[in-house]
Amino acid sequence: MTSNNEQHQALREQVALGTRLMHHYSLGSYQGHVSARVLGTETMIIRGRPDVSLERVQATDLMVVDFDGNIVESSPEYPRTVVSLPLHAEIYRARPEVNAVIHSHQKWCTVFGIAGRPVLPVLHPPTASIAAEHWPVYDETQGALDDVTKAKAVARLMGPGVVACHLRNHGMVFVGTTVSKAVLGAADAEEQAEITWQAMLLGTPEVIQHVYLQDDVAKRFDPPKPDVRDGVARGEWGNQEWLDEHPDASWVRGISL
Amino acid sequence: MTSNATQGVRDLQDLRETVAISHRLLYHTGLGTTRGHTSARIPSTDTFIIKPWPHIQMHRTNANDLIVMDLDGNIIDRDGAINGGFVTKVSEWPIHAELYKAYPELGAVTHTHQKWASMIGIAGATVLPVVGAEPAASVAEPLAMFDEDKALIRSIEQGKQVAQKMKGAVACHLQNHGMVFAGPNVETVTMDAIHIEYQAEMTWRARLIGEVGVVPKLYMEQALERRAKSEVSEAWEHYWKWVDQHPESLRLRSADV
Repeated sequence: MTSNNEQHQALREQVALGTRLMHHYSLGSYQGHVSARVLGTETMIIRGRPDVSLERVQATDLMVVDFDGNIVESSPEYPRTVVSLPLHAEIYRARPEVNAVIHSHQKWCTVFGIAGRPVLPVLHPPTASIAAEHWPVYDETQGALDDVTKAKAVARLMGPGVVACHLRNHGMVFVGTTVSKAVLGAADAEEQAEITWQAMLLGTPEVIQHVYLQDDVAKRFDPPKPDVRDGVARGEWGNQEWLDEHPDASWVRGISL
Repeated sequence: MTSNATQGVRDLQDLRETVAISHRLLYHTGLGTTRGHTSARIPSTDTFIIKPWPHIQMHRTNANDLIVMDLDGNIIDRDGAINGGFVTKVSEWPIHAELYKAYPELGAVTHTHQKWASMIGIAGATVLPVVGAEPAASVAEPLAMFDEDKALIRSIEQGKQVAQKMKGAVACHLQNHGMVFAGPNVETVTMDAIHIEYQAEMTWRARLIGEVGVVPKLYMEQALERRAKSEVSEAWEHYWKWVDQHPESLRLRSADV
């Protein structure tokens, strides 16, 4: 049995990896945050170094804060807090099944929020299921979500089962049961958005009918379990750990699956 | 071992190596990262070489990572594969098996989620032969379109339907999912995937600003004659010899040829 300390360290590593992957998936360069609930507490782990680019964030660059914004454990290099904490905190308060939140300014999804158009589920059903429903739009933010009232309003829009929310003229929020689910959800959504946009310029995109998406949607907030086929298990992240070790590889990828 | 048998072993190793190179080139040209798979029929048999699951990065797929399957979905050989053989088959193996069953002349199949060609399928538009006689020739005839079923192709019945649609076609859209390419050898299907991606991107860009001019068939004749004789594309020489060793040479070019 692993000690609390080891579990805490493992969760820190997950948040750091998720933060670096934001860069590798073109979801941000220095803005945006991945956080994880410290299970059984009213605290979360989140990046505490606004001065470190996302792709360089290590476990020691994170801090632990409570849901009221008090620092429990600061990053050794940077004692101050960050502005968008209430967004994460209010979502954790409202959604007990959510254990990870990502807030980003990712380009393609954000464009759809600005244009007031929905991102559509268009490519590869398991990937597209992130966009099975039209995401709610929080329409009153022109700046950082630095106050609790705004954050509570976003959390209210993200009721049970809701996986994403537009912050119009600002960015996106995605949630998940694990760090990998939240971050890969954001990456999957970005791909659907780019392809929806391209196809819209030619005509009316063909959308995947809900019947092909509903199984993945139904499982979205189930407790995490490993992907096992024929007795062979795949890790939680698939191949993203490899990408993390070879970030130069992402330049050729654009957003291909 | 007789010299014929030795030759056979060497040929099989060469074929494995070619299948591995196909994955690396699809990565370098931005057509896929982890998902997607190329296969090759082992000549004069009902078995084929294919990338296994869990997916490995296409970028680092080597000959000894691959497995051998028969057309009924049995794994014949995974001894050499990663993790000492703790791998299984990809869930969409029926795409490959049913194509080989239906068309004995087929030597190779590849399945991708490449962005531009997939998007054109989502838009209900047509990839046109627009640039360069050789690359345009891959799309001299209209691509097939499979739009009856949007689920992943995980059953033999679905595989049969895709195979039926592909009769005589170089490539087939799996609408809202990706692409399938089938041909006499790995070199041809890999270059078809790369060439068609480029035609798809250029078709899209041209359509947005005006009337699209297409390459007259007359200019594609040489390439089409080579194709009829199952000869390998000249471009393959460049791709596998130079690009596989110098992937950074594609850096600024996406799927440019």
